[in-house]
Amino acid sequence: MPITVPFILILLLLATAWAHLLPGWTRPDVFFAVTVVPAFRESAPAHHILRVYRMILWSGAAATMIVVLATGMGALALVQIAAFFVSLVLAHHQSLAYAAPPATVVEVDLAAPPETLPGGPVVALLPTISLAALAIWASNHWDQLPRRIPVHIGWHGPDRWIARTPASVYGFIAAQTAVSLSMILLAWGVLHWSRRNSIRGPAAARDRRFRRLNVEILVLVAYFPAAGAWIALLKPDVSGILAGATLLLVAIGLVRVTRAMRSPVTAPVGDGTPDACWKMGVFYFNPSDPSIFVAKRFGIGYTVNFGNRWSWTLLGAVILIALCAKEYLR
Amino acid sequence: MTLRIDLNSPVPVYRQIVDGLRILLVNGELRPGDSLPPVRRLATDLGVHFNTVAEAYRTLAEEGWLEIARRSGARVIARDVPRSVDRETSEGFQRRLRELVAEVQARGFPRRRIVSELRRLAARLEGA
Repeated sequence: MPITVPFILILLLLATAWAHLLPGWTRPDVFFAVTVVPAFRESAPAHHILRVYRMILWSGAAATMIVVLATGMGALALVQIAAFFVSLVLAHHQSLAYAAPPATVVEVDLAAPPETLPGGPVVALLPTISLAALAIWASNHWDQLPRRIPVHIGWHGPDRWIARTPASVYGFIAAQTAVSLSMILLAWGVLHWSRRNSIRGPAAARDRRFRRLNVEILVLVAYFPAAGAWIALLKPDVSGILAGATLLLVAIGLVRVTRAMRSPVTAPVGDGTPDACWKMGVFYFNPSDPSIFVAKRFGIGYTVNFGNRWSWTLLGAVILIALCAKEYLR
Repeated sequence: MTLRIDLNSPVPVYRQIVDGLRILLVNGELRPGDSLPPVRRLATDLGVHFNTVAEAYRTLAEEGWLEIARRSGARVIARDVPRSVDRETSEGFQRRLRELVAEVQARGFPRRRIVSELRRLAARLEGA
């Protein structure tokens, strides 16, 4: 049996457990991406829908594990993604029968203060500035750079390196800068291209806190490419610590966002997006909505409005940057 | 200071934005020098097309309430109120008021309630 199979099975179990818990990690007035009254979650139909969702999910996981163990092909674990979507689509479809009438009255606070990036532009651009400083430092201390520079951290430590050549080193720094700036762009987009649903009371405070946390995580993540570049060029032997710290901080951030989503909500019921625009419960497609980012109805954080052409442009740019960075550092 | 629109209303959203902002302007809640949210921000929060908000701002600018700048968005400016009311405006006001009363009556709004609302509005106007 290949050594990766047990590891893949553990990942499969963890992913299934994550999907098992996900329905409880959404705002109380949304159930499987359908707007409901918050009390619906405690009703018998809701319990039934949840039970069926989890049954299909775990049945799929069990079947996938058997197939993987029998064939020894770890790639077959991807079958579980299909099981997840089947269970989700079914639960979403069943929940639509209990959808609450959406709030049709929209209120906007004209005097609302503008929301800004945490710490302002200086904090947002500090990673880019530090990477520019790193490039200058590298050109002045070329001989002090390691001959092999780690650019990827695997489970057993660094597993991909680049040679100490000007094209590699400056390309690496440029790639890290592009990734960092992408994160800042996403943070800025969440602040300016997403809808502010509630304007008063605890619901408004909850919305603000949720948005703020997401933005803080994105800004924080923007620091890691910069830190990674500094460490790779100056102290390559401690790169693994940074990868561990990244995972830990992102996990803490996700827990905080999840808690912010679950806090009690009053009015208006729902997030202001029509149920019909949530395809399969996870893809938001609404050409009439100018928002580019919308808070996920199933899952944590934000997703893009696939009905907005600017979302595709933004998504394409971010994916292109990621692919170029990956290809360059291969 | 709240702008409120009803997406189910038969009144077009553009008209609701104009009417809502005009109430705030007439009541003095929006004063000369105040800034309105940028078109994109307001459109995103309302969930309507940018052009709908831009058109509403343009209408209010034509009425003399707003000054629209390309970069800084819309700003409330001091507006001279016409001293005399022309006949068309006067007749239009009476017609729209009658239409509104008839519409809410048709929807089952009690006559007594309509009278009390009109009295309250009149008292507020006299006190202003």
